[in-house]
Amino acid sequence: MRFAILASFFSLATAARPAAAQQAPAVGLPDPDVMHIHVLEKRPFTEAGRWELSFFGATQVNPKFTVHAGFSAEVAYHLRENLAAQLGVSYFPIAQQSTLSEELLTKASEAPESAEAFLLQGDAVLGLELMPIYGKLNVFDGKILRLGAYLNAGLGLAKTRLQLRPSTDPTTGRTYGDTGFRPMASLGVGLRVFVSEQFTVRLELRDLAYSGYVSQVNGCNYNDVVKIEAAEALGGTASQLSAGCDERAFGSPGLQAKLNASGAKDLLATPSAEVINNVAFQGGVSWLF
Amino acid sequence: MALLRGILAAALIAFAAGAQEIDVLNKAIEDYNDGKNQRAAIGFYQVEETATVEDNRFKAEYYLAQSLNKLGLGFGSFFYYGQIIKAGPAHPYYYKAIEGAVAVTEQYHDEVLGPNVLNKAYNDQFGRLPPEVLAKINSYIALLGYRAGKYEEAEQFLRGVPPESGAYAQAQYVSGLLQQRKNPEQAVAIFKGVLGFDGAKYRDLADLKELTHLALGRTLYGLQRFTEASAEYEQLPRFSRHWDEALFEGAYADLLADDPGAALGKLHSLHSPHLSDEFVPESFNLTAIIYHQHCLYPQVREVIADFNHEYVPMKEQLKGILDANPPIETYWQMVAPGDARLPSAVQHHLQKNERVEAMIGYLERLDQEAQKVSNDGELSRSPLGTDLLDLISKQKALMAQVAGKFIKGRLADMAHLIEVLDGDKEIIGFETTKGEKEMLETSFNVQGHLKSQPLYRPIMPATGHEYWPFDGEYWPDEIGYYTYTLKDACAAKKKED
Repeated sequence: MRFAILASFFSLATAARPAAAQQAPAVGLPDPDVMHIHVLEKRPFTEAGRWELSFFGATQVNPKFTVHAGFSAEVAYHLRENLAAQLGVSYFPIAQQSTLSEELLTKASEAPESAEAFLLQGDAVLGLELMPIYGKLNVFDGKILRLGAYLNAGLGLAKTRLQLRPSTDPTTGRTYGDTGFRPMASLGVGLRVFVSEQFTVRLELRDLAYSGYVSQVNGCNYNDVVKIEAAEALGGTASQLSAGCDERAFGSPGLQAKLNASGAKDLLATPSAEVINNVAFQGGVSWLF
Repeated sequence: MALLRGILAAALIAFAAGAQEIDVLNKAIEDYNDGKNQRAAIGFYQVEETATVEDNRFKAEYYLAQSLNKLGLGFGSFFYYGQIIKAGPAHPYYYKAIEGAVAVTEQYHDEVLGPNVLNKAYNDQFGRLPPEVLAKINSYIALLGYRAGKYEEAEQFLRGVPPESGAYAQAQYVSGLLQQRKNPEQAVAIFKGVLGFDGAKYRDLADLKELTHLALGRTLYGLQRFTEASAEYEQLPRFSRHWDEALFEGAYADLLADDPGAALGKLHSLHSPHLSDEFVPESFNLTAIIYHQHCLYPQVREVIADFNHEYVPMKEQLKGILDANPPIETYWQMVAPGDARLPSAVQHHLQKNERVEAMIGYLERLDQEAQKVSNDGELSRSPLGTDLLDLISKQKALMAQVAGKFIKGRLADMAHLIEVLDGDKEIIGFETTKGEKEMLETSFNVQGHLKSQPLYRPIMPATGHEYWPFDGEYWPDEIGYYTYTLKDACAAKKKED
């Protein structure tokens, strides 16, 4: 296996490498280190100026209070061999509280803070990717596999929600409340294996960071959900709700809406400015064209 | 009265024989049309051998050749086409036979027998052949003439290959080779033209382009355009048939273009394990010369030791074979894979030679044809089968001699080359000792001089390249991409000298 650090980025550190004196031969030359041999290998293919379309399967790797699993797609344009601009979208069909969270809620009536229970439904990120380390593997005695370790970073939008009731709730089952869009930053590190000139396998660890501050669920603030809970308990409808608050988004009138509003009230009672780090492992393939 | 009866009887016998001949011929034609080529060939042969009617014999001769060709018996087919060609334009199938002979020659990549037969038969009547067939014949004969050193004759034939012909690219290549001697600038233009050709109509175009890059590199080198020559040599695909030559000659061009680092890099590739079966004795001398130019005497001695280790025993082995003087017709067998009589580098060098390859390929095809005839019970028992086996056997003996003579000549050339280089090595050794003595006598501070020279990375091309330091491990994908940075141990005075 052979790895090299991108020459253009580290040339200052490595370019001027004086020859080190070694043992002295018998006559004439006391320094046998009189030459260096370099390999200036022509790449079998280039990425610069090409587009790359990637598809990933993703799963959260730090699931304490939440569980996320889904897939994402990314399109990138390689501005240089080692630098690309990229636009990616993700969708997490599985975005829910973990079993631990549900058990805490069911058995100990302990709910995590809204920030900890925050769920990511999907996101769109625009960013850059840099591949500062490249390498190659000699497999099957002759087949050369090229590799690249990369870093990427981007900014975008995240679509979020909160789980209001656990799956064990006999009345409501698992229910969610919409918490809207919020800005998101993404930071990733990954490995790209070039199986062929077009086909690439990618493994990546990506930290999706977004604000955990929640002030509204289904457009309703804390006061709104208190009113909804009280009104629904009496079989009525809440009045004087703030603009944009959708009472019916909490479920059908009566007990179901009451329970969901109660769940929302608990989560909104302790708002947090914490930043969520949803660390996802992504594995996928890409096509360079 | 008795005489009249005798004449009548003879006429009757002749008539009966003629009738039988027609029957056999018609049956053979019927078989031929039905795709029963083996039966057809046996029938045509019978008529060809015994025909009393000349027209029947003519027809049988031609269709015998055709049937044999369809049976995959190229040599047998060519032999009967050759008989018709030998008979001359009076034969009604003369032109068709020439076409058939050209097709077989092309199909079998025959560079010896076919072109020679066509060359001998060449006359004004060839002008009546279809233009493409004539162009191919002209191209074959031109190549034959070039190889025989008949350059003017070759040029004349090349003029008979028009641009619309599939043989034009090959003809232009030979034309470039001819111009190399007289007008190298013109040769450069011709070779560049060949490299611009594209399309499936040109025979073996990819191989031809490889040769053209090599020829263009040599021409540019001759014109002292060393940088361009080096670039042209680099166009040869890695690990292709002539890549070793391109690396060596490219190294020479690099050296003369004042880039010893690139030259040593190419030589480093040549000496890598992946190219260890290449015959490149001159590369050691060139390496030694470069080190000597930089007063790197221990490196010179190391290279000389490598040459002694690798090539001097090879020379002894070759001389041993030549002195033993084995029968000339057995030489070609030494080139066969698995035969250990030749050093592997020599054997590989011969295997790569296009002419050796063509001759051995021809011999192998003769073996295959003989096998094919023998395996066909009906054919081998027939008089045609016996005749074919006899013809093949004679042809094989002849070709084995031709190949043997050629290979023996190449072996002698290789042994001589090593001997000459061995002599040069002595001179280099003497010069090295002299240089070392001077260093000691002048008390030149070599260590300080070397330490004062930092070694930098070579300049990276802007895009499309990767840098790796060579750490003694040869990666197959890196062969051909080495370059050196080296210090100069010469005192300033010696440098000026």
